[in-house]
Amino acid sequence: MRALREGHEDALERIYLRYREDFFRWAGRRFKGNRQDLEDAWQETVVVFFEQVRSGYLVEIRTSVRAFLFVVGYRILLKKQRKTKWMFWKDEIDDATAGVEWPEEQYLPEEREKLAASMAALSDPCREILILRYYEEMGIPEIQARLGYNSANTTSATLSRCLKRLKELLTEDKTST
Amino acid sequence: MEGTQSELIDRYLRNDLAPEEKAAFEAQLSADPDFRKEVELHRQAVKAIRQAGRESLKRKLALHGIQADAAKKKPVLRWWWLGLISMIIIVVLWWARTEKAPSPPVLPPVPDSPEGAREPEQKTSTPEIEQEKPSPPVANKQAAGGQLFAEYFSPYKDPSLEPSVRGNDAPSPYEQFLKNYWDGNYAAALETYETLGSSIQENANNRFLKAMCLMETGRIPQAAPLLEGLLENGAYRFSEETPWYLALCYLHAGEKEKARDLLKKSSRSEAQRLLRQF
Repeated sequence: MRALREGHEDALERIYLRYREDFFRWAGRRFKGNRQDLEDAWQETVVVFFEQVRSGYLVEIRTSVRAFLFVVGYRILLKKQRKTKWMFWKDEIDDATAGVEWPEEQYLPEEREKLAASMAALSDPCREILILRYYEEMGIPEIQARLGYNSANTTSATLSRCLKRLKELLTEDKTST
Repeated sequence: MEGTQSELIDRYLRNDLAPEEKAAFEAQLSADPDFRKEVELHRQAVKAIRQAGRESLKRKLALHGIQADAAKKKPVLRWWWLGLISMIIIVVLWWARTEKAPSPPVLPPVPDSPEGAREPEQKTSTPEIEQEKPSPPVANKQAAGGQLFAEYFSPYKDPSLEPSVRGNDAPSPYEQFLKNYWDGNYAAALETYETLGSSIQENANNRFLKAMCLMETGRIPQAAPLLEGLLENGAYRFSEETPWYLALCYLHAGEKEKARDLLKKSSRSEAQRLLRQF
């Protein structure tokens, strides 16, 4: 978890690969759906885990990383498949995943498309720098090193410019609808 | 200026302002509608970035998954090729051996008495040929069943089996058994199992785990009766898993019909896939 907090991508890749097949076998026995459905759920599971660790919200877990991931994955699959078992296990799952911010609860469906379109309209470098700053929560020096900017000032200025452009796109979208 | 304001809004949204800063910020929020719009726009922008970041990360993970799946396929293909080549070599050698009449240098062929020289060789060769034909259909079934067993079997594991971490106390024999199982030391798990008390050994769940250890260490004929007994046991923790693993044991032994009957009852998705391969 420390490696994840420090931004080591290979740590996340290791977690993703290490428990992947076990998750498919375990979830495959409990849920209908093909391997792609389980793959989608597993990706979402690992991403949720990453976000909670990176945001500093998840500092330690009472069980093992694997058990935590499987509970998260179980919840994701239960909700996707709208199983009635969800209501039966809700309290236990909520207790095991207390404090987790679930992606689907942060976005209204109609909002998703609008936000995605605005991001898609940005240039690749803008999209990349914004994701590094606001999703991966990297500091300016780290971003400068990653993207090869000359100075911290250049990095900050690019970041401001890209954020301003995104806000313009979001505003244009609002006024056009 | 704009950058500074964005940073301030950022810190507010992350709940990172000192109390007095937060109070000043919220005072401005309630008094200034334009500022409220700016904060809301910033919130939307961060949402958009996080959504895109999430999708980008999922795509990267998916790529790792695809690469891992591709890497896994290669060894299987390699094994198939190795198996095929080995079989071809064995067949060719066997054919060459039976076709050729070996003439050792010590006993050169005697034209006057060819039969006298050859008969013993023929006598010695025919038993070998007969021995070479035990019952090919059964041998083939077992070979095919063994391959399918290898492809589909893996010892049962779920997060609930993970041993809980104790303090500095040495684990009990039962805890050691579970730890060995969890760590994949199946041979050691079997040894530990034998040291357990009779009531623990007789427990259905533990017998199931023992069967897994036996199957993983190649002692499938010993695992099958254990699983048969558990099947008649009635409901227990691994009731749903038992038919699947017993079917694999039958498959390994070449008992396809018995395996088929069990697989038809199994709810596992792999059961249907395996049936199609029969």
